[in-house]
Amino acid sequence: MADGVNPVNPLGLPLAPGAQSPNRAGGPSFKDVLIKSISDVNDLQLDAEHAINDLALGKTQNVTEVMAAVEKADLAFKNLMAVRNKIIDAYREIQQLRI
Amino acid sequence: MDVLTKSLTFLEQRHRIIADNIANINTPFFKAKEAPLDEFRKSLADALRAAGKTGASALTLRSTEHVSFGPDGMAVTPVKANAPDAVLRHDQNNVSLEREMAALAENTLLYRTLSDLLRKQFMMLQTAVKERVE
Amino acid sequence: MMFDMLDISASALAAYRVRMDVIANNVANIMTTRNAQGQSIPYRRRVALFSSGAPGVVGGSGVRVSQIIEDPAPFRKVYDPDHPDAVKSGPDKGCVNYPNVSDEVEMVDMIAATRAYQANVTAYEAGKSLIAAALRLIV
Repeated sequence: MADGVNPVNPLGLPLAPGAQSPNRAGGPSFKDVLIKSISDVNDLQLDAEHAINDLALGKTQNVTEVMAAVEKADLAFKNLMAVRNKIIDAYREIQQLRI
Repeated sequence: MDVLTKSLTFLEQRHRIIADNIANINTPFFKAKEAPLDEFRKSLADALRAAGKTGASALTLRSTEHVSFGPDGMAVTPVKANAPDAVLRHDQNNVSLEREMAALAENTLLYRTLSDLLRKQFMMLQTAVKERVE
Repeated sequence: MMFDMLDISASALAAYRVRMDVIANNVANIMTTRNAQGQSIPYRRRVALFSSGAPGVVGGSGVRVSQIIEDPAPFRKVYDPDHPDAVKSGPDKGCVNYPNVSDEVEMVDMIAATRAYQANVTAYEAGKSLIAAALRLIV
């Protein structure tokens, strides 16, 4: 189920579970992938915050890099949010199944 | 986010000082002033370090000689500019128009950059609050 | 309260406007040998003096015209005994007193005032863009 979520990933954003199916024995479980993704998104957010602080403190003059870092963090977060919404929708759908 | 709001407030004061210099480009006996940018940045860096240790989200900046942080907000006193290439003209005025216009452009661009970044931060919070990806 | 930064630049625009008017008046009266009452008193060059601090601007910022004084430099004397305003007697007999205004000085002053005016227009526009950027924060 997690495979079909992010087939295209040009920026190398963290939510790329790879070709492995989480059900295959020996591969990372979906839970592990999700936890790692959340941690990666958090790292990107921290990077963006550091970049902004450096700009405000005058430690860097490279506005392009700061903007890129902020946009990466934003996209990663939105990505995570979309995945989370899909998971919730899927869970609700399963709840509705009549056994 | 605190970093940006405090920086924007300071840059606003810096604009006033630069505008005052430009207004008095031909006033006799007027000496160019500048905003204490290094002082402010040092205060900001110290506050960031302190907040990093305690894990606080709001920054408390320490007042310095020319930049004071009180209940009424930030008060910036201009310092005398000591540019080594300043020319003292016959009317005892030492404001260099080129220098002030360059400072004005730099300040304006920095203000707009930081305010765009602050706006981006607000929008990211909105995405989290709305739970919807727009 | 962000708008007082515009007051500083606005005070400069007003002050330089006055200075440019004074310079234009000097040039217009460069050959005026009589005053408004028709007496043989030539026009004296006027200068607008600046001083820092504009009324209504907090903190003593800005600039204002403190006074408009007359230049005490001596008049230009041109020997022209047939001129109706020629001096009738004394050591200057036959000379006409022309205003102590010189084209070159006024032109240089006007160029400097224009440049300063334009610089303050730029400062005003920069202040407006700061306020606009702050207003855009409301998402």
